[in-house]
Amino acid sequence: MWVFIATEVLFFGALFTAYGIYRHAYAESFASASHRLDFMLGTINTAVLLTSSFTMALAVLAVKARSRRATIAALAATVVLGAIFLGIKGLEYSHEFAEHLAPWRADASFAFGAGSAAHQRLFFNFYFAMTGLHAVHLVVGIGVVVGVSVMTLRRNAARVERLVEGTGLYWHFVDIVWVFLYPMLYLVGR
Amino acid sequence: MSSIESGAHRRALRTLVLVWMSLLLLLAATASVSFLPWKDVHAAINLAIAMAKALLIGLFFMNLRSSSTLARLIAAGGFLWLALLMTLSYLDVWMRGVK
Repeated sequence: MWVFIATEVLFFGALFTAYGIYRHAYAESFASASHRLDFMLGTINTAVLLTSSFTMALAVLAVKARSRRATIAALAATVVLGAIFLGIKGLEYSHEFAEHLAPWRADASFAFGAGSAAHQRLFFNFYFAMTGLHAVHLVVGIGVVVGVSVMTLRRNAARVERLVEGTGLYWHFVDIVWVFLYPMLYLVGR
Repeated sequence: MSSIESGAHRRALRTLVLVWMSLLLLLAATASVSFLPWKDVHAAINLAIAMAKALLIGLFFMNLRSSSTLARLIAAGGFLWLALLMTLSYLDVWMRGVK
């Protein structure tokens, strides 16, 4: 699992690196574009995801203590929190689509604030690519957690311990990606 | 479960709760940085807070604190390569003065 995570670090890392270069070069445009994001929803979503990592860690603790019921409860809470995160993200996307912020729906009204429209469009390209890729990882994570919950229901806790642990590592990694995405995207120039 | 085991379990549980609360506090801190003066250092503070959060998640939620040396080595390796990638890319952009 750790080897897979190391490859994922570099997968996201390449995007982060490219973003960093443009964020530095077009600081003004990126700041004015970032102000169009929903700061409140982004912050709430970060809290939701951090809490889902907490419940995932609880699941690992419970499976080690051989408590099947607590393991399943913690896994279920993780799934619910993950789904809430995706719901809020979807709400944000729908607002952004309505405001024509998505680059492929951009029209003449796209330009705003300081900086150039082309560079602001680049910010939103990064925003949708990075949050989209993150959301795909979360969807996969939710699927895996549901699968592991079903297995925990059927088998005894000792046999699923490593499975729950491995799933936890993946989940926490996806959380860490968001921990960096949040200030990178929502807090630019704030 | 023996009493020694349940004591260890309770301590582990308490650690997780403390880490979770610290993470939420750090989030509150990073969100409120926006309301402070000294605009120039906001990005640096936010990055430092994000790293602190990642470290907490890695050490306590991902159990790197008590993992095997191999797991730690691979985790550190992933970040080392990323740090190399970033350093060299930024050095390149900086030295060539790309606009």
